[in-house]
Amino acid sequence: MSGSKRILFGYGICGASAVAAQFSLIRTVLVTQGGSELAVCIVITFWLFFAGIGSFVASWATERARKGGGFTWLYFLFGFLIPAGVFWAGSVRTFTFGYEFALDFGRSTLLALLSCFPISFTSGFLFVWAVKAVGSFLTNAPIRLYLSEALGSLLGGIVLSFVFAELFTTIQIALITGSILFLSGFLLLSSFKEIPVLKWFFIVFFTGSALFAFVPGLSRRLDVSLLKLRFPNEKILFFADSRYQNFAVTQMENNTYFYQNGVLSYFSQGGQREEEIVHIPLLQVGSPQHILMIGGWAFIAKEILKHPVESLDIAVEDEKIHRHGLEFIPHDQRTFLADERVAILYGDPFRIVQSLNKRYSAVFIEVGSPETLLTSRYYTEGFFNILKRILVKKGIVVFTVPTSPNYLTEALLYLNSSIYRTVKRVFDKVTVIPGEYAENIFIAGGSEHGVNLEPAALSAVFKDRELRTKWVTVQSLVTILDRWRIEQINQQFKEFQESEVNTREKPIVLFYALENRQMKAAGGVSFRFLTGFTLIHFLIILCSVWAVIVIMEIKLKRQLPIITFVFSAGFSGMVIELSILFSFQVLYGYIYEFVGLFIGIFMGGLSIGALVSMRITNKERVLAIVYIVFIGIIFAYHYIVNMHAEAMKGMLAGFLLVVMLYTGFSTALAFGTVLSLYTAKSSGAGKPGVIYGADLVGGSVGGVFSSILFLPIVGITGSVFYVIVLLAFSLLLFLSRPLIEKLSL
Amino acid sequence: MKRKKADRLVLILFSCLLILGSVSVALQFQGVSEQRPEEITETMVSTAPLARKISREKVEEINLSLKEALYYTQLEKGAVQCNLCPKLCLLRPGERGNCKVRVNYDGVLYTLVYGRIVALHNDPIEKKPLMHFLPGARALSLATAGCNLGCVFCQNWTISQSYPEDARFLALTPQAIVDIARREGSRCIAYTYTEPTIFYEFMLDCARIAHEYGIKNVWVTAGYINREPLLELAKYMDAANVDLKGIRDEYYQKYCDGHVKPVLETLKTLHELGVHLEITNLIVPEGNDSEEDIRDLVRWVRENIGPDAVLHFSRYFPAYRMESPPPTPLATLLKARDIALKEGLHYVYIGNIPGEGFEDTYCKHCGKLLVKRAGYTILWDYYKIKEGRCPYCSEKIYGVWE
Repeated sequence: MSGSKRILFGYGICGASAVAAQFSLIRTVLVTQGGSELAVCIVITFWLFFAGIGSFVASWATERARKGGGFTWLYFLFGFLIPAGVFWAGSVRTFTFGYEFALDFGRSTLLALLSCFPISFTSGFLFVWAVKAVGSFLTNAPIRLYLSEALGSLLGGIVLSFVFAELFTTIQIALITGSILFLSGFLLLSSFKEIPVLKWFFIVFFTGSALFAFVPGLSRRLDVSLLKLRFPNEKILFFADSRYQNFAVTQMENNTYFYQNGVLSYFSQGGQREEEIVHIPLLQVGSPQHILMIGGWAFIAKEILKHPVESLDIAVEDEKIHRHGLEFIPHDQRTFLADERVAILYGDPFRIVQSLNKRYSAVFIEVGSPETLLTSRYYTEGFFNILKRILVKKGIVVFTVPTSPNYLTEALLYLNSSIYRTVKRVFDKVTVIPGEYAENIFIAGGSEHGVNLEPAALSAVFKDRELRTKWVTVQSLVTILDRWRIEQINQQFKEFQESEVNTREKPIVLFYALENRQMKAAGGVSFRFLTGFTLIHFLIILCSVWAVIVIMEIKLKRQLPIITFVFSAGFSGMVIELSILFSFQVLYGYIYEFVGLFIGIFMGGLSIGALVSMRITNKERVLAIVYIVFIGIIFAYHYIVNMHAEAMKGMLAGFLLVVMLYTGFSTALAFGTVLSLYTAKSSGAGKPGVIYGADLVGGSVGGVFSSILFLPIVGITGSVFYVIVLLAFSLLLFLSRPLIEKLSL
Repeated sequence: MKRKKADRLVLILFSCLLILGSVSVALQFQGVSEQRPEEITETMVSTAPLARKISREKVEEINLSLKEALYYTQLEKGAVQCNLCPKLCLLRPGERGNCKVRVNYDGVLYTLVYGRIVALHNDPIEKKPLMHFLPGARALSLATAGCNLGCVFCQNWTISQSYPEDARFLALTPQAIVDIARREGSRCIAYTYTEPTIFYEFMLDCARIAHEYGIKNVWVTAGYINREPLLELAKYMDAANVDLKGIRDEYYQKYCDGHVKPVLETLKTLHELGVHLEITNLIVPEGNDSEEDIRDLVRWVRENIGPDAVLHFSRYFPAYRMESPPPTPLATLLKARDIALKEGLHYVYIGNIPGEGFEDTYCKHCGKLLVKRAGYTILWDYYKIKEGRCPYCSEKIYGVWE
């Protein structure tokens, strides 16, 4: 294999390693930042942003570098930084803000920045140095490297998602990735004889990281030391990573705590909350024959089974964690497993519920607060409609929403009333009972008279069923069902009309939930103004930015329309990719394998785009046609998702795959084509870095916009429409270059 | 050369922007507040950061109250010093105190929350918690926005840490509050949820009128108040539950933005004045849960309030800004209860763990069960106290029972 081919191959391994590094960082930051999905968004954004900045800086630096061998050094550094950076990301909070107090958006951002910077910045450098290393030997070197990276990412993504994610812990994945890089570096880059000592570096570090990754006990020690930083006063009983989350079981003074992604989900010496959310609703149901529980833990199941139910079906997403978790639940609370009335259905509950034919007396939704894309699906009008179909005539749906004991802040009012309005669209009768543990208990459906709040009547049922409880008792029903509080809160929700209904197409509660989290941590710093964001604002921003670009181009002649176009392509690619993943999730459920397939298809599209871009001659024309077709395709996507998603559900998955493929294809084609046009006018080894950086920064901005603004506030179809507008503007600017050139003369 | 310089300039600019951005984000979210007025040095005793300003026009526009506050001193140049709580805020014209609700306009200190009620509920008295005061009674419980402490684990942070202009409120007079209490059959009015000291003027007026109608007043407080206003208030308060958050000053400084000494002074004063007193101590793992901390707290209570002091150890749950540690283990609370009983306290309860019998009352002499509770509910079949005494041994049980 020639030297340049070795570098191409090596760079492909870097692409695969970058995917592994992102995955490890996301897992780590999710735990350090308390399960906030916002953290995931910030990690992806910073990754792309710093890779882009790294690329920009590298393009400046590479033109000034005199000595060779930079790529080999960087390769080594990348291999070293992946495990070290992941360990750093897992420990940085301890050394900065600590775990005691909640993080607001600012702190969260700063932490993610500190976590991501070392690895992502280096990854941006790698591309430019690889171009420098092979540029003189290969034609279309940047595009070939881009292709190599896309293929590497595709392969890395597949191996990671289907093999590594299940088998190894985060630290192990990072160590294995590091050792693969050291080994491949040693094998592939050794032909560069500029710095012979580096060979030894590769060998020593490969041995070290492989030892830590595979020798039993060594990687575990690293994992435990990270967990000890997170839970300094608790004994670590168990930890594992599944496809969906990180899970840890700890103990303090015989109280066992269960953490999912670093967030306390249950503890063994609790039980009052579970009694409240199970017994008050089930006392309403005359004959609770069949019960469905979506999510939730043994503690809830135990309470449900105290009622005369014939069957209890529990839909659980994460089989691995559920099974392991059960081992640590106190024995007396685990007995329900032996109860023949219980059936556990593993899989995405959203999907399971759609396929159920049974009719239930009550459905409990226990998936957690709607502050992630995954959980907010269960609080949409569409999902409530599905639930209504599987309920018996007087059946009820029960779920909880975060609140505060004596007063609702605006953020909490928006969050609760949005869900109230959503569920009210489907069920005539909805009653909210303020719980003792900072949660409102929502009971929807039931008899035509609504929820019975008469303690005497409920006490009779209670006695009849011979319930044995500690907190919800015959006597305490009077204080729990405090009529004053119940009337006050229900009246408040009925009157408050400013919040929006939560739909699967526009998950606005996601925004309200994030706002609530932010208000809690930052005390008053709100993002509410963002809800007023409309197309007019977008157009004003767009026109202003475009005007500035045109003026700057006339004055500076830096090919800004070309850079802008590649930025927009990166931005649009990211927004469409996230929209499609989200569309699929809300229509079909979260299916791990399919999410992997979609990302793989995107990477495949990128590879085809990169290949095609090397072969076309009339680049400008082809690019314009490809993007006009792209606008057409996403317009069709917008139309179908908005109008006919349900009717075309059978075929929509296929269509979404096509859109995903084309999104990848057009993004890479834009990169390749624009790069040729850009380098044709200005030479220099670092030039590809500018285009590569613009593509990545565009993607990072797209990630932020999608997660915070577009998807929750304007919805899927709104996001797509904004992308259409942006692309149309960018294409126009791109094609107006001759005119701008004339003006600048 | 020019190109090189331009590139360097861009890099330097970018680096500066990145550093500035990071620093500003960090500072913005570190809660850097306005500094103390510089020119007022002669009486400067307070270091409490002030709250953000609010104009008089805005106050009038949104119907906050502009009632002249009690307990303040006028200083030079239109400045005032608030003497209500130990923070002793020094305010130039237009400035607002640390509690967010007391503002200086033209040398006059005003309260913004007189009758601006953000929470109004009719709670069982056991929820305050008061276990030895009118068991089973309902307490009309109210609060305004604001607080003069900043506890990071506050369950009521949505109001205590809110600015009055940011919260939805009902404008009610003291007479209206008393009327509601009478209509709803509340035997007491509880000033609670936030730190009631900050709506002192309203609380005082309500308390006076309530007494005229035979309604008792309950003060659920962190005890962060100066002696003079406390003496006036105590004339009308029938019972108080004081939240003694810990015995160490470092703990108060770290978690509550305050100091322990004023709270201890309040406890002693209330006891001296004969106000029915119960004390709550929230036990936070690794915060104030060491044996030494608990023992010191219990000893202070026994020595200064007496062995009949009613002490509630309350279970902490992560709330507001405090995400970690997890809820207090039962073993820690039992250990605290054990220490308190061994140190000679007679009435020790554990809060936030219903159904385990830790909220029941036993005779200090014969040890028999006198009041059984289920959560906040009295099980009347098991209620044995007669005329404030144990029916088995006639021992007097501290409290107000009838």
